[in-house]
Amino acid sequence: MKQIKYIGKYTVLEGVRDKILYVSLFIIIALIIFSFYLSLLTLTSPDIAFLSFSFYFLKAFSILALTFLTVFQLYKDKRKRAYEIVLTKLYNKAYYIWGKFIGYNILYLITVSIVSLFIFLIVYILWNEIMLKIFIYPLILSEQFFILSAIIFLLYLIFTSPTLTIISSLAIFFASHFSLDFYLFTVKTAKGLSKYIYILLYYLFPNMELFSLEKNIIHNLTLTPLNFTNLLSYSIAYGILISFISGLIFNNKRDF
Amino acid sequence: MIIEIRNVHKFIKKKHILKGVSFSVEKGDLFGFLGPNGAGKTTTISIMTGMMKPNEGDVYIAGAKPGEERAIKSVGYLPENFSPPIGLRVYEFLEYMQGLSSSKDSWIKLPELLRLVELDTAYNKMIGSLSKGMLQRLGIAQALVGNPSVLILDEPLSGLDPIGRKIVKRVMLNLTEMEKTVFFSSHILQDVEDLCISLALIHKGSIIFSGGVEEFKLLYSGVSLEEAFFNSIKEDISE
Repeated sequence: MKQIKYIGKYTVLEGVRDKILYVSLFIIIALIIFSFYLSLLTLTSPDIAFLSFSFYFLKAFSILALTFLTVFQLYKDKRKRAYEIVLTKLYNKAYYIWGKFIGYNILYLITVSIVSLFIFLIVYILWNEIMLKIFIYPLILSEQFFILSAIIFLLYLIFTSPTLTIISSLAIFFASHFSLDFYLFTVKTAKGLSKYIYILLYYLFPNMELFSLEKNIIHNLTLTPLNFTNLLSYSIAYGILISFISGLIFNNKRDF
Repeated sequence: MIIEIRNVHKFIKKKHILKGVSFSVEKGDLFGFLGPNGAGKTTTISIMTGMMKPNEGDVYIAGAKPGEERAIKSVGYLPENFSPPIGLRVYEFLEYMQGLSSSKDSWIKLPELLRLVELDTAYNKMIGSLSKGMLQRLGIAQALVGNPSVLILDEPLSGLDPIGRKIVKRVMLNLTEMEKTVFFSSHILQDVEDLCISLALIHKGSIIFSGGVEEFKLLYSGVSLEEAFFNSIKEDISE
């Protein structure tokens, strides 16, 4: 546990000092400022319009930026053989995967929380509203990144190319936003064995559609603590299961 | 013997990289592992550090197999082209390595450790601002963190200027005075001759010689190690 903690802690520290993170933060902030100007075009409730645009920009860009950062750092450590210094000190090589996994998730939570604070301040300064609900959004985003990063780590063990890992991870992530539609469609149309294969695929891939709750937060629609706890349990269970499997695969590799 | 390698074979992508490598290193020795590029030095070291598993043969470090707790505690490792995270400061990186090391108590304080590798002025510096020679010494410092009895250094002198090489050599000699076993690979023959009493020569995946430096020079009738080395692989050079 101590080794996982140290790998996680220094992954955050390395990430915090990585240029990619600052460039990403700058772009996200610029997009949020752009959202403000977009919101002025609406006739009613510019604050609601601002929140909608900001949340969508934040989600799209933070997911992209952190995926790139995670994958590039992982492959850079491998290419430069920097991870050997860490691996030769570990009793169980899986700690490397688990430590990095935890580190990148903390880094993501910190990043989206900072941006959410920025959104909160803009809403407060411009419309004099204290919208504490804004801070629910980084938590929901982090739950999604928890699942996405688990997929990234699994694919990192499969592909030797960072580009393939990025493309495949993002493809799974975005396709999983339509998994419920896919499920309903196949259950109605598919027959025989293929139907069961589709159902199996539905359960294997994450259901990211569950996390599309921007509207609920913006328009004060139902988002009970029970909803939130269910989502949290789902993302933790899925993320931990996948990263546990990745750790086992990594530990049993013959050559690094 | 603190390091024992017996009949190790390794295939990578069906290519026979190591062909029955065997040699041993005595405790407290400063041991040079020589060989031209592509001879199998790094593969042998990867097996010794547990980064690769041999297809055949046995490796023992301090009586344990690589990857076992005892071997992990006994080995400090510096990989070739050591590149630590440039975003960290020197002390942060060493604290990280201390956190990972198996020993419960730190055997040496970080400023003292840095003094040992002649890097005491770099305590608070960003790793990205260090020179190649300073990086290598930082690499040796991180290898020393858990107070290991064996140091495995992969090409610690390559790419260094004469001053950097001189300092790293001095540090390596100081380590043997502390009764540490230093095993290092190199293709710079002069360095091996300056530092070592014993060596092993690997060529095309096979050990050509293992023993004393003087014995090697006698066997291959060379006045210098360089001459003996070329005599030992004469047939391949003429090819």
